[in-house]
Amino acid sequence: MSGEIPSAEPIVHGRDLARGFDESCDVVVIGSGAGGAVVATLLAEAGLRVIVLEEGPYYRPADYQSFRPSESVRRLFREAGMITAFGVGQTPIISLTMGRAVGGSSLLTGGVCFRIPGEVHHRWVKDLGLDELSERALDPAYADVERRIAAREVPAKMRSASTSLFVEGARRLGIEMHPLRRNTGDDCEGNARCNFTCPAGAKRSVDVAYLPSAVEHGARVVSDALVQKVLLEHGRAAGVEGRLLGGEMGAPSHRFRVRAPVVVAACGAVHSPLLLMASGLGARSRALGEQLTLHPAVRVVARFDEEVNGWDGSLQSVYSDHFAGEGIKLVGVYTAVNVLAASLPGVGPKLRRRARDLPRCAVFGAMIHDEGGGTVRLGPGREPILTYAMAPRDLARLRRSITILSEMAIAAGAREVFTSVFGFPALRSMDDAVALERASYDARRIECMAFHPLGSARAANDPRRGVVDQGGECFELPGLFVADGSILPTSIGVNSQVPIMAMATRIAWRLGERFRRIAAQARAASSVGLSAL
Amino acid sequence: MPLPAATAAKATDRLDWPQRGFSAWTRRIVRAAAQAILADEDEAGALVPASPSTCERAVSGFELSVGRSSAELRRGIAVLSVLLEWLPLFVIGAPRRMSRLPLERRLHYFEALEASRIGLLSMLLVAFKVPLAIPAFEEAEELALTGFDRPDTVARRRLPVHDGSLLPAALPLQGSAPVPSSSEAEAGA
Repeated sequence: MSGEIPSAEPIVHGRDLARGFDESCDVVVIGSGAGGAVVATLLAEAGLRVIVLEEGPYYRPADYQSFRPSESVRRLFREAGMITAFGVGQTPIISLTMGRAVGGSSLLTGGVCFRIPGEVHHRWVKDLGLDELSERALDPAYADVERRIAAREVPAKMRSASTSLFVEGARRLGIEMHPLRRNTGDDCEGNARCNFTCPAGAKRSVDVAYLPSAVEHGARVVSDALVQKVLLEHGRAAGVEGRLLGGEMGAPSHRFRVRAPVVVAACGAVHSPLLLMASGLGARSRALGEQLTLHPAVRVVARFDEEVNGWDGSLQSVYSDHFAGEGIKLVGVYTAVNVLAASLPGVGPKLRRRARDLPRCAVFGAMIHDEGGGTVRLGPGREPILTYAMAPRDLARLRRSITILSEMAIAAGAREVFTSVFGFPALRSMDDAVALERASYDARRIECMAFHPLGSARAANDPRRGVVDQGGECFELPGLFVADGSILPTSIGVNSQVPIMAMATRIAWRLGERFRRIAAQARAASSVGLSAL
Repeated sequence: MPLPAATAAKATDRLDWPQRGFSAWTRRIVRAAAQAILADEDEAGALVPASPSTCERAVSGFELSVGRSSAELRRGIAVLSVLLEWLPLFVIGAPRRMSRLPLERRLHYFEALEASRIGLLSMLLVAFKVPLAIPAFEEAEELALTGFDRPDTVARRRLPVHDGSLLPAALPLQGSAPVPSSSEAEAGA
């Protein structure tokens, strides 16, 4: 490998490059999702030379807005949406959704915007001693993120009939629903397939809300670039190396190296720990790859007599914290119609009959604020081995969530409710819902999903209890920062996109202020190393 | 011009480029599964396999997804295919491989997997059903069957102002007494 990136494009398709490269810059950012894009953009805006290396491919918004759901799944979802965390003990097998493309998982979210709840911030400060991560400390970062992504409350008129039915059912049970905010500005058309990209271009994923500014300020983005190792020199991070993907079949992969005094890992809560482990880190703290939290989620599909056409309206528009004390958050959901059909119970003619009823079906979801119990381990190949041991209390919460959702649907007049539990008949009454919650069955019969992996390289004020400090810098390796969901010290109980972006914003602001000192320290370390030779 | 064998290092991970993901054997298993999972019934109520075009759409979609994924995932799917093929004896007592069962018995086998008290068996079915059904229901007759009222899954629609009038007529007007939950009803009993 030698020389500069052999392309003048600001966003480069790594798979099209004819050779590797050996570059240097001020900051190299690994990952272009919610954390990486934010850090890269803010540091580029601060005048630093930034290179972003993204493992996944690059698609322009004009490209992916025309992807059918199955195309989105195989081009933008890591492992084509087939990542699972294997359940340990009485734990469902949990399907994880993660992005793998320029823009990361932000391409695949429902656009929901929440700040970390005050009580979670309070716990971080009081119980964990993380005074720099208080609600007040992060307030400016939240405000900046929300401005850039055009976070707006979803107006009632954008609620689908699917959501409205559940809202009415909730009202009858005395459960308050509230409008939520999304990163769609005023541009949502109600196409209800946000998780497979927004055909209207309304969703402000980071490739739209941040990276254009990064590029305008001189940042370079290279897609199809798999970083395999963080370089260590004289006790500090000194850059990264890896190889380009997607080249000509059978041809050797082109290798690259990017040298920088600051390395920011933003590969996500599953892959940042993997990169750190592969770089020889994690021995000092036993926190790396541990205590992964997931916000396990379930949903129900309720059939009504009347037409609902739930695909008309915002995918997500309301939530309830009525059961927050039990660690349960209710959130309106829907999905692309073919994905919904695929998730219905039954096979063969039964599946087809239920698919025919989709115009009369409504959907709602719940996620739990889990205690954690996930681990990330190096696997035999590139992908990790994920396990998750669900705490008994969390399993009880999950089952309770199913009951609550079912009761809401029945209260709204649903004729039958298909729950997330395989092999049980549809529910038709409140008694059925209670009976299901009380039934004894294998937890692995629950269809469980997760969209917010967090906490596997958590921040702490003590290197024995965490992987990074409150500024995101790795205790074991000065110059290496982590800026993604892996650093959140606990589960947060809300959608994680805005929290991750706010944490990344704060890290970037501090890095911008400290960069000269960090670069000087790196040069000094290098001089000491050279003079020792 | 092909690279000399000595210098052409074989890529070990097909995440590098789009590829088909199944061996011929696995493809045959997956296709047999698709015929049953997506089976229909004719006007007389007799079971008919999913059409060749539907099966091909489903299997190709699944295969392309697996082809773009990691080697670990591809190996995992191959192992699951072996299990899917050889488990009928243990699940429904049928001493034949899944792909050689008559359609009706194959369907019965998948229904038994879904209803199994052993959660791992339910998930074995899901591992094939969902990735097959997503491309299957995305187009053509299967998409039309869902009642989706747009020409395709990429088509945009502008939502008219929704004032609550889309709620089913059977629901009482807002302001009526809330329905107690089951736990409240029990507490009051």
